[in-house]
Amino acid sequence: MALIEVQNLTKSYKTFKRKEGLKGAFINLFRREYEFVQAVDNINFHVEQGEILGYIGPNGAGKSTTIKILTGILTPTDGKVTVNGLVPYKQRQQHVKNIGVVFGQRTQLWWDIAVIEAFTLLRDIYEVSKTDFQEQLKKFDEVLGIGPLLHIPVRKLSLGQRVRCDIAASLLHNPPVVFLDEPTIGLDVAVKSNIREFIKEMNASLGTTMILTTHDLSDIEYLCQRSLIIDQGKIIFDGDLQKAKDELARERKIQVDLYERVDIDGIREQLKIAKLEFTRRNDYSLTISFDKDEISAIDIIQKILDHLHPRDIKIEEPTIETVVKEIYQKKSF
Amino acid sequence: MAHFRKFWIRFRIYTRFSKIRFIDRLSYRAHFFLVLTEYLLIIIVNYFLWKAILADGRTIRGYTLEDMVTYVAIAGVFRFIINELSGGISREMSGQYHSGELIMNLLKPVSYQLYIYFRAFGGILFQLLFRGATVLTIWALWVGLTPPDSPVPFIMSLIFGVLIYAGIAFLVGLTTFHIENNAGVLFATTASIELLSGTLIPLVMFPSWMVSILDYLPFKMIFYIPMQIYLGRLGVEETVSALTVQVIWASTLSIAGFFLFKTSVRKLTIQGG
Ligand SMILES: Nc1ncnc2c1ncn2[C@@H]1O[C@H](COP(=O)(O)OP(=O)(O)OP(=O)(O)O)[C@@H](O)[C@H]1O
Ligand SMILES: [Mg+2]
Repeated sequence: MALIEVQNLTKSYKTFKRKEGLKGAFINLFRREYEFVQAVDNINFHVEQGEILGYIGPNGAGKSTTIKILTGILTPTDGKVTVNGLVPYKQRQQHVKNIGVVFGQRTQLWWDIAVIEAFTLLRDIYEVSKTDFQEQLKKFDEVLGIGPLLHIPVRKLSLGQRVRCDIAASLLHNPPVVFLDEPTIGLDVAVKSNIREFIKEMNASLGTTMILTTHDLSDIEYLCQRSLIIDQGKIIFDGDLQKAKDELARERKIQVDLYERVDIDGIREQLKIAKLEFTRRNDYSLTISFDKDEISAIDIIQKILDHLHPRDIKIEEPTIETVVKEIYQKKSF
Repeated sequence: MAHFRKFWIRFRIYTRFSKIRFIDRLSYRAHFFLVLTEYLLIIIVNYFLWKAILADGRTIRGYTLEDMVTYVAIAGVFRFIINELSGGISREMSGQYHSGELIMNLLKPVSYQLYIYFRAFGGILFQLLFRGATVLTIWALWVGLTPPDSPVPFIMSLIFGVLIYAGIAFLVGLTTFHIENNAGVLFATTASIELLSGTLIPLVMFPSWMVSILDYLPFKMIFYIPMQIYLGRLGVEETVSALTVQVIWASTLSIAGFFLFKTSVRKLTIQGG
């Protein structure tokens, strides 16, 4: 059995449909109409112990809804979920002992106390020993630079500072399962790369199982061997995005800058390669697009060097963004 | 023994929530004197009222002026407690629900009900230690105060009374999860609790049909009964049975809160994020 199992999971939100205006408000008093939003629509997946699963999708796709169900704060409309053998929304208090959660958009810390006080409270709640706690604090200070923040009340932290403290708080007890919903929101570049490194390290040394939701695909690229893409509540991709990139994004682009004016027909004539697509960028620059499986970039560059007089040549790899964008657009693979 | 240790560790954690609230309350000093003055004024007005009513050694339903002097002072202090519980439990829950802070508490291996209770207890401790003590000292020096007839049963009864209202306040807090605009509900409950628990006038002074209805409800257990014990109006047997009934009410209400909270969480939909 996998560590996290999700079977036929469905969640629909019931929302009260408000009528507008005074007349509407009056009607609302007597007759309420409801609307159902199908946030998660019959999804299935599982996560093995020690895996870092990327969970991505456009805004409103149902990512946070899924995470909320997996963390036990939301009850599904239908389907079955187990994490570590527990049903999160039924055995919530027991379940939350074994997980760490970061919702980048909201804090997990108590507003009215200083960061260090929240940490020591969490230490007691999760029964972390004092020596382990000190060690963790030191580690978090190195990675997240939270040392100077410890004596500031949570409500006075900036977004990035708060997220850093939140991450530390959620990992303080070395939970075996970690849910990260947009954990790098509002973080500066240095801290962000530190956190990535740290997550990777934690996963490698402790075998922590993680689900990571983010709009920053470079996080996914760096951390996740496997990703799910969800759109309108349905899973439209389950696999390795790196592989998908190699398979799906076959188009390559070479950008050529010239000393003389661009003459597309002339260049096409000179290169004599079929299935190239030329686009003029400006008077002295053009882009050549081709399918990497049909023509090798080396051949094209060879020809360019032989026949044209380039000032500069650049090869553009497709990014993971273009791949994901393509998957979002085609809806299913 | 191991069980006890575990229990003690958990208990210590919850008392830290009390401490947080206590310190938080301590930090609003301007507010401190404002509320103190307001409550003191109410006691003084009540006092002059009773002084007029019970002049020349008159009594009403067995209450002498001397009784009432003590009654209004203790009731005045108890209203700090009622307000602390309404604000610290019902209103707090409503606020946490709407701000999403509730979620963050659900993600911790901590009982939400106990977390809320203990925070409120921290607030009560503050009210008693600072405002309550101040009011009673002023009162004792200025007008005079009869000490409790039997302090231990009184304190026990007072604690059970607080627990009963904590249970009610928690249930009221739960209703705010389902009603969007709940300022009205919160105001109405606080006002009726003040009336029905006997902090305004002793309940025997109500019409007799009302008194007999109130016998079946938990409200008089909150303040009126502890006050009866304070004034020495209950015999030993009556005191024991009153304390028993209080315990039954306190546990019934809290157990109801426990289960209703469970079902409420199951129906919860969380806004945003
Ligand atoms: N409490 C709620 N009541 C009603 N509808 C909701 C509620 N929460 C979410 N939804 C709807 O459910 C759908 C999924 O929302 P969810 O928050 O899971 O999206 P998401 O994938 O996390 O998006 P984002 O990338 O913007 O964070 C959206 O259409 C949203 O409007
Ligand atoms: Mg989201």
